[in-house]
Amino acid sequence: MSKTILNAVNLKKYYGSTKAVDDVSLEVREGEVLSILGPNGAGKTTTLEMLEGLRKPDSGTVGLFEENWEPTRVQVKERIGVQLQNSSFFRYLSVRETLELFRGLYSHRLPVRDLIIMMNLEEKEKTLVKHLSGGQLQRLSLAVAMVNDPRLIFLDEPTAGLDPQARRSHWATVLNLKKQGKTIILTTHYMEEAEYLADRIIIMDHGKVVASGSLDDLVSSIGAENYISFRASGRQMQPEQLPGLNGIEYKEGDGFSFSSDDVTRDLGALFELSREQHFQIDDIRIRRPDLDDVFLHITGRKLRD
Amino acid sequence: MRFWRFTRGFFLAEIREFEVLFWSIVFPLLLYVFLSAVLGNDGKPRSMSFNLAVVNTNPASDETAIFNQTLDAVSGAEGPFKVTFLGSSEEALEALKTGKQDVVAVLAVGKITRSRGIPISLHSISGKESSQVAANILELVLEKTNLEIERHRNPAFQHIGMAEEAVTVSASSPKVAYKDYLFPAVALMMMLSVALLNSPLSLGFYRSVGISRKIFTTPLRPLEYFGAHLTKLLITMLIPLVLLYAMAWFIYGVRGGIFSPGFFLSLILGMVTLISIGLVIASVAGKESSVMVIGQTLYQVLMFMGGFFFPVMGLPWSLRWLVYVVPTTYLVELLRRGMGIQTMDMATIWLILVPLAWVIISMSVFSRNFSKVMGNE
Repeated sequence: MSKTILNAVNLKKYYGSTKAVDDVSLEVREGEVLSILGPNGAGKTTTLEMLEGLRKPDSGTVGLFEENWEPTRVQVKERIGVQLQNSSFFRYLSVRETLELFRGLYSHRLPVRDLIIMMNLEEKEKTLVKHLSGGQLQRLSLAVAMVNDPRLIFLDEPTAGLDPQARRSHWATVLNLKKQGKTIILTTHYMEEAEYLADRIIIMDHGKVVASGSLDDLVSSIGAENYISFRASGRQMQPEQLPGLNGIEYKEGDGFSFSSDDVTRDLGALFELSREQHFQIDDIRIRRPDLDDVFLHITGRKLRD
Repeated sequence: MRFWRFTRGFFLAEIREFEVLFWSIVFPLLLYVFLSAVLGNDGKPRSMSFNLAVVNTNPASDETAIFNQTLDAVSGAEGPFKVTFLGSSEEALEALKTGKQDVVAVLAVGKITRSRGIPISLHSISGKESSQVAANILELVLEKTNLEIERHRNPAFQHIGMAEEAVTVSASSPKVAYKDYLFPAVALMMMLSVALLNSPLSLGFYRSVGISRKIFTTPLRPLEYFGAHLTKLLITMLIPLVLLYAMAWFIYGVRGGIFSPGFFLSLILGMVTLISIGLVIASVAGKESSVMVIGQTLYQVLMFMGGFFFPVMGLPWSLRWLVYVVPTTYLVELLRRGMGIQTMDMATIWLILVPLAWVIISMSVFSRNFSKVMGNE
């Protein structure tokens, strides 16, 4: 069992009367990738910033590394790497100069050349930051987070706003860091990102942790093994006209969907209903539940809503 | 070491921005050149020179001898006229028409009477400014000549002549060259630009885009970041100051103690005062647009009400109270006194105490907002 590298207990943060983070506790083990997932405004970034030492909690404690140091200590900052949500750097410095500037702030540091190669920024080495694309800026941001060869890396919405190709590329880099044994805490509102990268997932909503565990744990916690979705044609149908299908609901654009712990039985029931009710079944799909379903199950809302 | 590494990068990142380079360095130097050229005659002593043609066919008379002596006085090295004696009116008027002469004075022969003085015809070209000015000046000269003639004839005029001497002494007191008068103003203007605009804008920008937050995830402490900011400001102020000194010394020949320790200390007091006011702007203005509005307004008020370019003590009280409130009035006067120029009737100690009061008040406002300004909760 790997050792605990971060331990946060009962973190609370208020902005005026708004509870941004409400009694959040979490533990991170060395070498794992923990993803904090939730919709916008769930309190992910505030939680992360309290862990990074950028925000002071109104109550609760954060301890890092074996020494249980507070996150504001210089010793902690020497060992962590942080990629903030909005990656902004000095516009009139080149990629190399930016890395040299941040690298100069640490006592232990990686060679600039290694960082540039690691993040595929060779061609942009002398380019001014203001001329970088969004994806290149994110790569630079990750490179800056790595200048001190950190043990613990915080990534706040690292792929927000990136195109799918740049996002995939970023994921590959994160997985590479994971292989190097780095501990990574990342926030995201993309469930695919959490599913793809994380060993463990914490789901937050309205400042609270509503679920946590591995992907399998979370999916199995909702009791459904599969989801069946379909479209009905030939007749206007309402969910209440389709009894016996567990939790059936209709969404404009998506059609009908229901959960199933026995696909054969439930498909038979669906076809029986189509004969009885005189409608046709189109575009039928069977899929395993995902984090969106977990979130829906817990909060009654979809993650993307 | 990390402080200096960071400061170096911090400074480079900023000085490469065109706006910083132009407003902090290039513009004040251009303004110095421009104002010196327009108001200070390109840094050289102001001299007006007009060509005067004189036609005098009776040079032996007593009256015209006095007239000639007067002409000698106004046509010497310091005088405004370059006099040419011509033989006839026709020749002189031809020279006037062709632009060789600005004004022509023709003395009428044999018509000098006690009641009329010296009958002189002045000829100038209407619509030509230099000709009109030359004619006006010559008229004044001739009035003086008439007075001299009267004084010769009537001893009672001796007293008037004596009174006139007193006025002459006052008029010949040392004159201030505008390039000297302007030097402290341009130096302060350079500091104003960096302190009131560059400093709060960069603090606000780095805070709003999250650069300062990123910096606070590193081992660099907020006070080190602030120190780097101040160092960067000082360097950004020193570069144009060095250029200004070089320009003033080598091109305009400004001397007057600008290398004295007192002058340097006054410059340092100016830097500290203006930087502290800039930090107050950063404390009260949340957005960059607010910084621009407050900074630009204060910049103009501190510059014009501080008497940078023209005397402000003659302003009406509805505006003059501002002259007494703004610290630049005292700073620019302190610097000018360091150059031997005094424009205000005020004890030097006040020129130091008032800016210091501004520093104390400004820094106390800033220190209360330090974390907010730095972008570190």
